[in-house]
Amino acid sequence: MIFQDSLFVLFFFIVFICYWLLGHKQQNVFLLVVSYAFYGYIDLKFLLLLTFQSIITFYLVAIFVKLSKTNKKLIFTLAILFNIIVLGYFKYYNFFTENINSLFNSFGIGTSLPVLHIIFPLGISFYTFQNISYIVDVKKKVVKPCESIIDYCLYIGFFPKLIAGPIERASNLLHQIYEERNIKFDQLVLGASFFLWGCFQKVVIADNLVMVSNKVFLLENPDFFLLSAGAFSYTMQIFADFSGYTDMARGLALLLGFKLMANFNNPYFSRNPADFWRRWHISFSEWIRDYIYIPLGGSRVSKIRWAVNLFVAFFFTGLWHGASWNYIIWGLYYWALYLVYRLWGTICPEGIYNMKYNYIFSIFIMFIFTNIGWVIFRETNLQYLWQYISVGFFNFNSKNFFPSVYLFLYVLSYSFPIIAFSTISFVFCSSDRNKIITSRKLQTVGVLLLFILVIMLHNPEGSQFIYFNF
Amino acid sequence: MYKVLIRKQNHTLVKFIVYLLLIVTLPTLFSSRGVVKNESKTLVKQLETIQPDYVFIGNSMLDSRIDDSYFEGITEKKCFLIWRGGVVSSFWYLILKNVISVSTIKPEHVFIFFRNTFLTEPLYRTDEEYKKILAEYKTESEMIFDSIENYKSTKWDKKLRLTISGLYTFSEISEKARKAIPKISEKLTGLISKQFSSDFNRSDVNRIFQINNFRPTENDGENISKYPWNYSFQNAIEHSFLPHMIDLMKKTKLKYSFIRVQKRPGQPLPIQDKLRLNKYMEDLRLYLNKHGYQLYDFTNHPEVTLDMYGAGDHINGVSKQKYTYLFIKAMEEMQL
Repeated sequence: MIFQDSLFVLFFFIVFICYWLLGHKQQNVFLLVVSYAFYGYIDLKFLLLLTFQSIITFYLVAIFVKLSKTNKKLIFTLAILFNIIVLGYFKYYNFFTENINSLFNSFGIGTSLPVLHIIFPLGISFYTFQNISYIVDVKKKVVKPCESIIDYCLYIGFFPKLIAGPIERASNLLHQIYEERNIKFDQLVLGASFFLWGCFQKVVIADNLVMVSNKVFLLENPDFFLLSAGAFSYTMQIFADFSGYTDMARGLALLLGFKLMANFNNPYFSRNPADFWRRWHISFSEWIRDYIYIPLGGSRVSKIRWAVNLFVAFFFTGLWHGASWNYIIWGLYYWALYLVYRLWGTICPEGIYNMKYNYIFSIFIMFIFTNIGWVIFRETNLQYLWQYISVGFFNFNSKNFFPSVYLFLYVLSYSFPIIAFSTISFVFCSSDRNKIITSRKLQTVGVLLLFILVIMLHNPEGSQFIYFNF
Repeated sequence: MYKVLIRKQNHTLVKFIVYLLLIVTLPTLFSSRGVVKNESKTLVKQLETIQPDYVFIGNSMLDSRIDDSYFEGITEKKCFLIWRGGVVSSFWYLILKNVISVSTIKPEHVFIFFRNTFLTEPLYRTDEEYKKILAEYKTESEMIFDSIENYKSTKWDKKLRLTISGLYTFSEISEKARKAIPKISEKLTGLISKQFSSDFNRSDVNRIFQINNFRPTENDGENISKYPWNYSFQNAIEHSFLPHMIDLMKKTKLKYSFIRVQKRPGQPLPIQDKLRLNKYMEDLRLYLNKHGYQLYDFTNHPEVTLDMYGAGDHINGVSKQKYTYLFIKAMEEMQL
């Protein structure tokens, strides 16, 4: 049951009515039951794991708070390790055993560590990161430890953001769970428009672009033109897909009186790699920054140490996305871009740096680098990835030029609403793109229009959310 | 104070529900099923004009395997291929019922190409875009088809989904709207290409995305090891189209054979699955033989080698004629 599923919409409608008829305390219990029913409907085993992980983390933190300083360290480590082990086991165990086996085999040492048939629990990377951030934040006294197990389980399992984020911090979501929520008509309309806009991005834009990217990346020998069209298609598809999910999640949360954090801020208007990571999957990049990069020393260290810190941060950025080498390469690609960008900043003459059109030019260049990044991200088969980099990008087949132009225009036509929306929000209120959607006029006309467009233009074949795999 | 707040909350809730209901009901007023093309009638006309000696029924597996002109050249007999990409037993049933049975053709033989356990998978590929394809081959009264379809819908969630999607049917407008974007892109590309004194045709894009250009190792999503077939032939046949296909085949008094196409080699099944699949095929063979029909199995055919494959289980374009030749030889084996 996914958000754009008609069954989910009906389910949510019933939940929505019941929820607002209840008092505050019952609302939290009700939301927890509903969240668990939603997750359990996907797979009961997933639900057991989620509950187990939430309860253990909650009680370990509760013990941690009551202990003396020396014992605190032990429990803290235990709580962090517990979450890392669970995530590692379900997401990375097979990846590591397969790599260790092939490494030893290449040296002629016959090892065969068992490969397990594990089902990957949806959303585990997202809620594990929330557990870890809670443990650290309590230790740092950024947040007070949660006193109610119901509230904590709801913080972790709140269904709009359970499967693909945003990775909410306790400091943002927990207090909203504690506080009484009031129903406001404007907020409800805003929630509905967020949901529909997200739905439009997913089922109309992403699901119609998936045909182009899937076909191009299924070709045995795509040339530069086709690869460019495929990369552009995937670039728009992944944004529409993930941003669509996030907007739906934020819309649903708003309908229930919660405000989830924004996960995107016009990422394709980034001027450099650092800027990109401030705008793309914000909740995740901030997590990496706060819980990996800064504890390692961040940038307030020697240049070499800084490069190492950055390497670690980007390595984990890649690894988080999946147990596959291409994700790690993708993470390290951004690390390399980051270093090159810094180096360029020191050697570039100021005249060039401050040129009149530098701003637009840098956005364009960064967009191309982002496209290349998504090719790495998309291609899990390293052999083909190498073929793209070594041959495909340097092979120009004139016969493929106009078909590629056609594909570009096709992608552009479908992505037009997203491009227009991003451009308007970037130009007129660059700090917060969501200001556009709060406009009253757009809401009233938009909600009905979006609903009709979703029904009419959706791709009946559909596709799963890309970030459900992470 | 609390009571006032609660009352105010309820007022807002009611107001919003009315707002929502207005939005979701407005489009249903314009909902229409549109005109569904009747492809079965067109097919009947084509068949009656051609009067083929051999009719082949299947899906893209058939299309990638049988080269009709090559077949006609060697056998000096006319043949006709009926297929749509991805379709399975629901489609084959409709073809038998609304095309073969109603036409006046008298072919020497009719071949039905299938893979895996698709003959007894009535629910497979009947949703979404397949629903649309199937509708083009249905008549007004499809009692058997609908009863099998409804059997599928006994699951409450599926039934509910179908009911909701039935409220919002904009077949014609939706199709026009979705076709507009490729058309606009095509026109614009045409205009651009003219600036370079060159011509652009949509078929150029289709040429690039031919099955032969896809990665040979890439599976088409139907890797049998992932395929859930935890049932026996006896259990599966009960709610399948196969018994109804057999009834129709008997009524037409034509000769039929079932051809099981070979899976791409090099994808070994777990031993338990392999044993179960072998048992399934044996039971299927017995069932067909009992009704007087043959099953020819291309599995493990020594001359169908890995290099002949394109994407997934499809045969590549270069090897299509070789496969057709092997099939003609198989016909001799079947004494046809």
